[in-house]
Amino acid sequence: MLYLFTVADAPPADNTPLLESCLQRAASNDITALSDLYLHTKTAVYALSLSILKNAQDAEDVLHDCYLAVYSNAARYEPRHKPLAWILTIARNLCLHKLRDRRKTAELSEDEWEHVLQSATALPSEDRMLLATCLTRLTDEERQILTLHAVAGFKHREIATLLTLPLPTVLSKYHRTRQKLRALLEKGEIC
Amino acid sequence: MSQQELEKRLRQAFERATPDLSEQLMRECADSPTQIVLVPAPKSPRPLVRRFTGLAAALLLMIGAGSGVQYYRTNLAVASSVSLDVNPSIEIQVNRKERVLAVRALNADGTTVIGDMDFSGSTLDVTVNALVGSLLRHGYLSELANSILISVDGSASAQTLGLQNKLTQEINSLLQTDRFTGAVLSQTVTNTDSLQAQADTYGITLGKAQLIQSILAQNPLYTFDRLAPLTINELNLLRSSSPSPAGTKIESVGTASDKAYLGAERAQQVAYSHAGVAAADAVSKKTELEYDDGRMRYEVEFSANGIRYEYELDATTGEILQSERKGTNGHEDEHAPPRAARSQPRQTKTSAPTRSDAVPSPVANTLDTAAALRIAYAHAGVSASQVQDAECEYDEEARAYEIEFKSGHAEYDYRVDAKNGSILTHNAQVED
Repeated sequence: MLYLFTVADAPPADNTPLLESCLQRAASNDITALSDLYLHTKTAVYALSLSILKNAQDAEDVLHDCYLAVYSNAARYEPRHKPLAWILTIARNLCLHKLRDRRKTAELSEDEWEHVLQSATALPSEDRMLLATCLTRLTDEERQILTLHAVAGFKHREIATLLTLPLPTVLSKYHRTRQKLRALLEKGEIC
Repeated sequence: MSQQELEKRLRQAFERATPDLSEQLMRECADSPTQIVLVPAPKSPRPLVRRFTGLAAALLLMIGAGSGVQYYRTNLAVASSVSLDVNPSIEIQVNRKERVLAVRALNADGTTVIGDMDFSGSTLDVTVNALVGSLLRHGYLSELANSILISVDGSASAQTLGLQNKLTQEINSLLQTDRFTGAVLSQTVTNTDSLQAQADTYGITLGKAQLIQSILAQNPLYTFDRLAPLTINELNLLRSSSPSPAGTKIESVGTASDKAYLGAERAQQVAYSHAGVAAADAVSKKTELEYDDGRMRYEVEFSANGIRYEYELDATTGEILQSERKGTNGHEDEHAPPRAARSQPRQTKTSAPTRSDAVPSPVANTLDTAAALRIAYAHAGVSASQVQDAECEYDEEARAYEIEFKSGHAEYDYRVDAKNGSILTHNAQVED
């Protein structure tokens, strides 16, 4: 059996210079920088938040609070870090605090997920099924690793750092999760 | 649905699901800018077992240094070091349990292959598996270049040889792909100061340095500096074009791919066509792939209708670099395209024929060029691996070899009797 670790196929472009520029502008209280930051990173922040919290309303709350914190603390960003990693660290910490406050994850069933996603957005049915499968059938770690790589474009090493997991764990879980999700989706015949 | 497509769809689904809070955020920040304190990650409850970590550490010390040393030897000390060379060079250090302690790239290509994979604590077979997978995925191993060199550091103990054999089998099975089969060279490397010095000088692994030394032993006309930049597949091709000397320590499985080159058969056709000879008329044929003057080339030799032909072709393009024909009346006709950059006279090749119908040495019952070179090197007190820019020409009339070579700061000239190997003249000059 040949293990092929895919590490270079994350399509999201590395927009580090753009985001650093936005953070510099935000540090100078340029309000338009917040709009640019939000535009380029909102999906990664929301995907990670939803992956951790498994609750659309809580994820939206974190999305909101995260950008207020980012804008307010932009001057504290140190360029030796990747800007997206810095933003996602803020989002993750907010999520963990929310989880602790909530004491336990308010997990929703697959049907409830469908309802939440349908009412919250005008999502196509394929998207709803994909997200519901991702959120209800994958473990927390699997979901977070997959979304960080596929949505945020993080490298495995960066995921390991953010989630404080050993890199081999991230590598093997990522590989297995892709296979698992694909198998689940093929079983559900949405491919 | 491919894996890439799956990721793309997931990304798009999250994009569509993400609420748009942009205007709300801008309004809130513009209306009431407030300083928000960044929250650190909440501390997770300290597990009971961790509360006793300090006590356990103290107990470990009290139990005695002996068991600690044993633990270190088994788990943390480097028991074996394995290097993989293709063109990327990678070193893997393992403990006694064959668990990986470190994987390190030894050149830029090695860094590409390792990427962001971290193998600490992984088993050796999983690590090798992933590295070979990455070599394939990045195209370093393909039907055009299928050779890999495995080098295990250490003495030739049963454990080292066992590891070498195990890795050879593992990698050989991984390289039985749909498109091609691999060629695996494996060896045990014994570190010596001179080997280490050469590896350091050329920025290559000890394993590759040892492989080059073995090729130099086969063909003294090659020099270390010329072979050092070549890939393992190119070295494997050169190695397989000459018989290995007795006592070689390199194990070989599979055949090095020459698909990046013209191929021996096509090279012969080019030569026949240029000579105006029908393939059916050619006899005493010999075709060798060699490396000279910065490029791989085919040397094609054959006889037809009483004329002996020798050709040198660029192995990649088929361009005729040199042609020579010799009639039975002794008339010689040599052609070489203008080559302003040709650095040295044509070299007499030293590798022995590999086919039974191959041509004999320049003159029957005389030394071959490899033997003449060995005599000169021995007289000068240098080894083949220390030699640079060696040239050897055969003086047919005098039945003697004219040999020139450099070693260190000295230049040597020798004239060696081809009949009995005696040194007729010799001269050494030290450069200023």
